[in-house]
Amino acid sequence: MDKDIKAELIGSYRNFVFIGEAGSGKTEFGVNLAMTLAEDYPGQVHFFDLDQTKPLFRARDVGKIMEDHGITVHSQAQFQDIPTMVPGIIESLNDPDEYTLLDIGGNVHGALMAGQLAESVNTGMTSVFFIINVYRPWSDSLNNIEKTKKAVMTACRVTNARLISNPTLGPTTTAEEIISGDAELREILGDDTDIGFICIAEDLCDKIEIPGKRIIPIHPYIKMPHRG
Amino acid sequence: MKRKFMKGGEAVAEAAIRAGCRFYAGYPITPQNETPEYFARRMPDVGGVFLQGESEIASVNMVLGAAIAGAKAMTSSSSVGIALKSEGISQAANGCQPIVIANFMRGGPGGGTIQPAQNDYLQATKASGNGGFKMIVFAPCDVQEAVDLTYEAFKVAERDRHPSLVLVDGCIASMMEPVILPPMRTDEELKAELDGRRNWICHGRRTRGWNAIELDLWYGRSAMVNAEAEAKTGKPVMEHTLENANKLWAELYEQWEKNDTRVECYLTDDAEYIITGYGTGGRVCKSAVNALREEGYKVGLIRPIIISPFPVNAYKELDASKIKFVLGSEMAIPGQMFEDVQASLCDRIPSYYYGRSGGHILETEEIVEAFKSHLQ
Repeated sequence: MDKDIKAELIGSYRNFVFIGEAGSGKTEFGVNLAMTLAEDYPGQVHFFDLDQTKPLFRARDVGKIMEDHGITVHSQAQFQDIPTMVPGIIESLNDPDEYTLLDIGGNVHGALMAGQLAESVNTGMTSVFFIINVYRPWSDSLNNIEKTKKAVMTACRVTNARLISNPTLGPTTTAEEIISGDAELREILGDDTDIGFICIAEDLCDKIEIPGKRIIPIHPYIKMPHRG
Repeated sequence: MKRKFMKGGEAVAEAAIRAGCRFYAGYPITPQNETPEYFARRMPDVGGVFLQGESEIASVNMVLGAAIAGAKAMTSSSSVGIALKSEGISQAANGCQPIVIANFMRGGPGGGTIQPAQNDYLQATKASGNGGFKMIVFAPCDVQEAVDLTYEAFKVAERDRHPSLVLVDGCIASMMEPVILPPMRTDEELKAELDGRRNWICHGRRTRGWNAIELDLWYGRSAMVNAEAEAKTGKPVMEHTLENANKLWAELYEQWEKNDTRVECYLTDDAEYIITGYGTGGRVCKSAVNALREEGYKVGLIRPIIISPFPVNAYKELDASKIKFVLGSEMAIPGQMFEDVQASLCDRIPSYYYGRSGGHILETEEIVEAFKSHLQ
């Protein structure tokens, strides 16, 4: 990642929260940011997997990779259909020596459980990222995006969020689809909306030039069970 | 055409809506929650109805009622929830109601686990309820196929006036993939189809006489055939009995076996070994076939896309002088589809099984390893 973009992304924040429509790319972005932080702050990064909305494709599935990079991964085993809360979040959010990342489960239902953390999240120490993938069903129009954003932010009681454009269709995404998806989102939201960053699969970064855009290269950690 | 990025659970719901589904009732259970959540938000856009019933049993009966009244209707659940719906599904078969059901399988038996599995093959293909009825069962292996087969399930249900089932495992439910969605059926198309079905839709006593509901719910297939005959000649063609209805259903199932089997045969022409599976398991089997081909093994894949009726001939016609063994692989222990594979092979070719269960998703490497363990 470009040094300036990294500095802008991380700034002086200690806590990072990822919210958005289910499937917008929160987990992949969160894991990538955790790995970036771990390069500079080994042993100080704590990743909380709070996804209780689905049984698969969660950060905990790549927990070993993160732990191998010196990241402490927190999650709670989930049995049957009963939601469970991960302990130690508030302590970590309030610890100035720790970098804390919260991967909130998708949509309103996932965001709801983060609402109880609002007092510790809504501080100058925290950067909340709202991730938008324009190819997802409820992020393809202004009405849908506003409705989803309002519902999610209300549920998790956060007041400010930085927008991230993540125009992906998974491993088969083409450079053209990234460019046109990002352009579509910017058109939907209008020039007055600041979309801080754009996520691009790392193997496509060299093929895409979007002048003036702050690009976050994404390494695909979450794997599918099949290949080919 | 523009691709959308959808989870399997969402894609099934959107495909259903595009096929004309305007009534959905369900009850929450992991890993199928994406489907009712999607319907809840999307149905108002198309003038449809979403209802969360107070239970699985209530919701399947709501769907049954909607179908009797002429709506294209659907319900979904996961494994243990489908078991609860089984009485309603059986009743839909009995009443010739063309409902569509989706089962996003999780581990079992019982409540099992919320993780994905393929433990409901036997339930789906042999006994989705009491009374010995069958359904056409679609088994997609990825999100695009889940879209296409759900769309088709509505057509098949309508064609046969019989429930059909989409058997999706929990992996596909949660997995996101790019999809190309089928066209939205127009209001005019749906109205024309509805008009063509007026002879059996229950609008109340005036339209069908005092026993309209009775005809719909008891011995449906003989009632249906008689109603069609009466419309043409003014006379019924058979006695309205359960045995006659059973005979008519048996004829329907025979038609399916002749016309509706579907299977993917991949690299089978020169194959000396066959790996077979369905759904997500079948997709991982295909990856294993590719991996083994890279190592020089002549391996082919047989993947049933429709698992009921089972594509018996795909196995029956394998050349026993060429094929050294067949390896079945599913996310179930013991294997379930593998029973049908073995029955189709009739002991002509050696067969082995490798499975995972309890929420473990099959991996390419372990199928490759299982395959090699059987080489002499």
